[in-house]
Amino acid sequence: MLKKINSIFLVTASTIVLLSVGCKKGTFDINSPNPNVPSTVEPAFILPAAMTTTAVIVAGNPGGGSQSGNDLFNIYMGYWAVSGDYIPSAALLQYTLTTDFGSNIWDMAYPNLKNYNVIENTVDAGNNYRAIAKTMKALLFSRLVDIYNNIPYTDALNGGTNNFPTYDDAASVYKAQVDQLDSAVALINSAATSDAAPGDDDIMFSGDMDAWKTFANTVKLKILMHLTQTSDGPGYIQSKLSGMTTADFIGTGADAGVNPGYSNDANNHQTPLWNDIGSNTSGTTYTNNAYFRANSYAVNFYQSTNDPRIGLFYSPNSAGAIQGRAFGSTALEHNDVISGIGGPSLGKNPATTGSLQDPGQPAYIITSTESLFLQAEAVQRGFLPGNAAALYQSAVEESFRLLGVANYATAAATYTAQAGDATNFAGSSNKIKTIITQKWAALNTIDPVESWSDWRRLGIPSNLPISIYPGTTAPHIPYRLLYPTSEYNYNGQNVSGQGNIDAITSKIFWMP
Amino acid sequence: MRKLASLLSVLMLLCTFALAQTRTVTGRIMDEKGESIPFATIIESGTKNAAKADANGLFSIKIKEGAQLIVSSTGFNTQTVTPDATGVANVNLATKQAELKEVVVTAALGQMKQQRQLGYAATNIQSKEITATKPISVANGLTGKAAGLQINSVNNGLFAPTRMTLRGNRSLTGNNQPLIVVDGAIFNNDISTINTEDIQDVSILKGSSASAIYGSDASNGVIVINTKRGTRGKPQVNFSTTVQVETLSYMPELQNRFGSNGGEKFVNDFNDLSTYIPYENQSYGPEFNGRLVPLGRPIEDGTTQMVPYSGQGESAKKKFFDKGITTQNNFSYAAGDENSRFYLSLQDVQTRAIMPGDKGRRDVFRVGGSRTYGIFSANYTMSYTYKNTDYTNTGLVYELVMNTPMHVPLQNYKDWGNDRYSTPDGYYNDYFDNPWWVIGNQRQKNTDHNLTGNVQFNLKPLSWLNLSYRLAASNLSNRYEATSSPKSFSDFTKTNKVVLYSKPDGSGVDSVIESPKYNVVSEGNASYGNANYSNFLLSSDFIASMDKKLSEDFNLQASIGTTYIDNKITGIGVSGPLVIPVYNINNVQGVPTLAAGNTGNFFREARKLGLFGEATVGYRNFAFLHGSYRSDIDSRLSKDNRWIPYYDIDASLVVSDLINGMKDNRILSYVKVRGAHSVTGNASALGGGSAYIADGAYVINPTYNVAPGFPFGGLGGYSLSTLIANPNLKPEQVSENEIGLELGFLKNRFVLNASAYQSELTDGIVTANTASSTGSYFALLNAANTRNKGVELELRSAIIKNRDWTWYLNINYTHYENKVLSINGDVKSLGIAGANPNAYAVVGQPYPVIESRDWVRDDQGHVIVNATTGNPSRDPNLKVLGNATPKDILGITTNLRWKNLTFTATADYRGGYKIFNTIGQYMDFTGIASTTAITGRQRFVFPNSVYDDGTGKYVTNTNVTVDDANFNFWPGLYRSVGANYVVSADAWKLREAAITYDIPKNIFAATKIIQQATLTVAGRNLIMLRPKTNVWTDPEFSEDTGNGVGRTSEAQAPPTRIFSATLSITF
Repeated sequence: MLKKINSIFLVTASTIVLLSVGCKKGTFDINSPNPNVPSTVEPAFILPAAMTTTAVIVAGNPGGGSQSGNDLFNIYMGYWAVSGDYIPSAALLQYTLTTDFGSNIWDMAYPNLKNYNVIENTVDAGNNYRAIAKTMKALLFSRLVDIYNNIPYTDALNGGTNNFPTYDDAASVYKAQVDQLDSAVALINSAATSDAAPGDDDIMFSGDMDAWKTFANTVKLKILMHLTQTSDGPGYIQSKLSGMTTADFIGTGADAGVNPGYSNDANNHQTPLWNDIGSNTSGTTYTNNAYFRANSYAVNFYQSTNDPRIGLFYSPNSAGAIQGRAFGSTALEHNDVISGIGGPSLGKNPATTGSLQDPGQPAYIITSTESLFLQAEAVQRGFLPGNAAALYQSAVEESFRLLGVANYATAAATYTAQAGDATNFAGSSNKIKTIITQKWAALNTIDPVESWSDWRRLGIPSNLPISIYPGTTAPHIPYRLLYPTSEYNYNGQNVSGQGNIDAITSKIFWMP
Repeated sequence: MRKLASLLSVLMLLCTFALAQTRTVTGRIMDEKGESIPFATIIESGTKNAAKADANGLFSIKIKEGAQLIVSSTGFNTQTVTPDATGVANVNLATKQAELKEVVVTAALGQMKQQRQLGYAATNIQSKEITATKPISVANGLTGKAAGLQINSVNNGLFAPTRMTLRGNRSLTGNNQPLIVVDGAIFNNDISTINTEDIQDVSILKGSSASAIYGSDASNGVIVINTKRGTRGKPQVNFSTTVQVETLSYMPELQNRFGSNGGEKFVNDFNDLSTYIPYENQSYGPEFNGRLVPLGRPIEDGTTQMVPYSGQGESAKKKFFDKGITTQNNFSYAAGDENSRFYLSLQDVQTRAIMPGDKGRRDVFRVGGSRTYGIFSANYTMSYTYKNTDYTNTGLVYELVMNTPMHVPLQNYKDWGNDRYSTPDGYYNDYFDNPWWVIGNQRQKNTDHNLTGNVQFNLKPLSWLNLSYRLAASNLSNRYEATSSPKSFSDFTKTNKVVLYSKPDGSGVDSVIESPKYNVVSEGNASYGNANYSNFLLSSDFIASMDKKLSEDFNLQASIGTTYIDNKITGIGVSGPLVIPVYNINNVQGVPTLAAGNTGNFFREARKLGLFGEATVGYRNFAFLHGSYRSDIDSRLSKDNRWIPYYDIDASLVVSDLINGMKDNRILSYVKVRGAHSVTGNASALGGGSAYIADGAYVINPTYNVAPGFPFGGLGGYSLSTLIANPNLKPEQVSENEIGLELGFLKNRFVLNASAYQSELTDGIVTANTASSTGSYFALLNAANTRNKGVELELRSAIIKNRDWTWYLNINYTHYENKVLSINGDVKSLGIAGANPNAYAVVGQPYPVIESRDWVRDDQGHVIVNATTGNPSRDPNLKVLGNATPKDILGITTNLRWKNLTFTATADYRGGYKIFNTIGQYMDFTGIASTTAITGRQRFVFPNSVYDDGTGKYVTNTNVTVDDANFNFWPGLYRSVGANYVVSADAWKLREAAITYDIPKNIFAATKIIQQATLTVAGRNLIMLRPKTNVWTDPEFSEDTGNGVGRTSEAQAPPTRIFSATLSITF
């Protein structure tokens, strides 16, 4: 009936209007597309933007502040401590995590994933772009699982049609990523010459699709190795790695890093790590550079193993020495006494050594050293064919190279020749422990989340200290982050369905 | 809906019947002055045969030869007349003593209707009631004059902005302000561009029933403004001139005991008040002692400014401000004869604000008229408004003045260019600029050109049928410029490290080496910004309407029509730093900055076509049934969601006409009951609440934005907007039910109009925060529901009405409640976009509410303090601290005349709500607020506090004092608790009062030129009564005109009073 009335009105009355104002068919179809901003964008413009954001999530400090992202994990993992020059945040020092701790990781990752989703779902984008999108999604989703366990996955990224995504079981998300990575490699393998090939817009490998296959395989290896302690893990890992060799993964000198053209010409053009703990374009150091200092646990480790990297992870204090501070210490130690983080380079731009060398350095997603340690563990556990000792040696060597140790190969050889399980693989009574200990030593500042995963999975380093701040009751560092405030505020029912989460005791599914 | 449709078609058929009579009489019903009386009743003597005059007083009736006509109209004496031989009867009715005239309302689509016909609430306000105190803006003239209408002046200053709502807020993120219709056309420019003198009358259609015919724009009610079109009779020329003086009425409460210290110098004892800091802005220093002290640092010529260390009191701050002067000159010419009318007016308003140097001008030119040629008639209006304002960074200057320490002689620094202690180098303050320097060097200019035209053609082929077509257009163009001069320091200022301190014993000064001033304040480049904006609106309406007697008893008024709107907005805004202060974008260093996002440069266009029909069936002029229906095609929405029906059905019954003899009852002579149900819509949330449809033009399209940091060299990067595009959006729906009762007492000397309504908004559009796991942070969704209900009472009375005395008194009262029923699924809270971060929609609460932090309290509400430090602590959770809109509004207007003297006044009360005073936070930061000195900066026991006695039990605190009552308490801990600044916003205001003297005609009769002359003295905002807890400012203020009401800021002018004198002469 309504439609009829509408039609009568339309015919009789609009005739007059159409005559008088001269409109024609399509008069009311003027609001699409938007003439001011693009409504559709080619993958070649989405991809570099998305990867630059991913770089901040993986290698920077998403959202800034002192309780977010990698900074938090660098502290927990014994790499960094909190300066004595600042009024302490008891919540940070006592592990009384709130839903705001690290929330930017989650809050940045999902919209970032949505951009990859657009590429993945654009058929015209071609196999290569879609494979890259799948790979980057797998990287981020698996990272979210490593930090939060169960997460929205199948329902996620559908804002507008599903504003309340349900949570997926973490194990199923994990396995789905392995499948996605396999299909990404398959897409690349089956790409036709007519499929669009990325070039400079691929800011990690400049369109080298073989490098992308290696990267996808390494992400897969990283996911699989996290499953070593699960009951069905070994069988699953074995099946998923069958037929693969160490040549399929990132090898020597092939650090996977994002670089859209980082430089010091604007603060937001600096590499994410520099943008966190470095200095602004006019040379004024960022607050986090002063807020975070060397942790005495790591300093002691490097000193006790005569590690030449100590002066590359940290800067000398006013007396020219490397001095750490215990996390949670209330001692009156000023910043001139305690070493800074990032190595010797800050303020000496351009520098060539250290974990933070240059505002223009790539944002490392997976370094060759991390890949080689993963391979060493896989070979040692019998999941891959190869020589674990050699892989271990080149992993350490690659770390020395990345940080700029002079004559790194020789220095690494001297270093690993020292007696003791912490360094000497051949003589080690627990080779996995040696691999993971050195992996921990190498990933300082560079990938603390992976170190945290190893500790949660294997308990290495076994003597990782907890905060000495008065009132700290936690028996160990946290196992996970709490779901972010945004979930409790805007997806309350679903997140509540995950039960009471305790950051100290609630485990990631792959933890023993 | 099916019923409504069949009703419509039956009515259409009925109108083809005609009734045979013997002789047709036509004529016009007028008052003593010859002005038309609309809707008078004409009865053939001795029969039931009756006719009704139209809105222009014209009537036509068929009667038997020789019959007489009885003409009556409420408020006039009934008269019996005999038509002349040619069948014409022009009748002049005499005004009845002490009885109110029947109100005629301009209903939707410009139709004039008798109050008795309406099934919904409407208030009519005549021009005299609006212009009594010569307000510049119509909005100020309407305040307090109708139930259900709330108008807030959100700030003072040049052409101060207002916010208007009818029956409160219903949409969470859409526009809640009523639709404004001027001369039948949708007017979506600033209401302050209208010259109040040009207004004939204003009809306020409150509920959505009244406005359903306007479709998806009308859920907030309609304000229908009719402008003057000329009058019949001798041409009238009017000239009037008004001078207004605006003065600051009161300041926030200040302390006058302590001078400067901002925490630079205290050792370990927080309460060390011993050191006075000469260059500091915060007033946490020692108590005034009257001695001469240095102020600021030594300057290049070797001198140091010395001032007495004593408070100068509130008056010193008041003196900073000027008297605002506004002159208003009006000229108008009105003429007309049987067939044509003409009106022309000019107005020039020149205004200087209380802020030194702020000035503005508004010129309005309007011409309007009509002409009738037999069955054809046409009318038109055209207006041009020029508005120009030139102002400084007004908010900043208020802040600087307010926070200047009390011993600083602010008036000494006017000559910022030459005076050695007033230049940027010499000014005492290390942290902030000299406010006089800001006035001289940071300027903004806004220029509006607003052109509107409106032409309407009517064809009356049959006596009962009218076809009309109207074309209306308005174009607003705005140019905004902001200039800022460079600020630089001498080498001496950059390097001087010597600061003089007065010795505590008053024996002289010590010189101390500190870091130079330059380490704290920076120099600044000149800068220039320029924005151009234009907004074009075209509307084109066709309406066919009929008004026909169907039988002895039944009358039908019906219309069908279409309305088409096209709105185009374009704009560009650029700015950048300059090396030389020649203010043009050409001189900008580097690439000029475009305003952020897609607002820097834009083109927006949207169109809408409305198809509508309505009908009123009247039975014997005492029972009326009215229905309306509309559907819109809105280009902003997807094809599937464009067709949404809006409708109304309402009815009224004049019971007193139904019951025999009741009409003549001396006590209760008029009784009318009415009821209405409607469904209307609102799509303004598409444009974030903008009144312009084009602002919501592209919301259903996904948007990609340039990603942060991009481009990197030649590499471009785009990311998907985190506001998800939603192609399924549809307009919000408001369903409203209303009932009303109208009573006339003592022969209509007292008329009471009561309404009660409840409305529910469903599918409310919200820019909802979404969990980031959806891949976006926000989504525009049809998700919110709200409910409004209220009672409105309007009492109009003519208490006395005789030759020497008349006394009218109108009282209106509104009680209003609303509630947020849902926001989005189980989401409980939504921040309201706008300048006020404390405005929230919270499920189960009124909308909006003020949310902020409170102290940590025990179950009884006592503040819990630390047993050792005596300090309370801040609750980390946001807490609802009160609703931000009044629950009760009472308005009283009176008009008392004795011979040639007339006194008019409007007062109102608003109550049952709270206000957050951000200015309090600022003043506690600087220590200028009276609060901070309440205990003389001595440690005190926090009022109404308890502490944990160590066993978990809370005991009343009588002896543990806060560990600091100075710098470490007020600007930090105390200020961080928003609840300390949330107080009752209840207030009584005497908004207007005026005395008008009609100069006796015999004085100028000899001139034979002057017909009438009046002299008026008036005042606005004369008195405000507010609770003692509100020590800050006018609770009516708001940070902007958006939905986020409930917070005043430090950037707002203190309240002012306005006095004016007007001479008006009619030739």
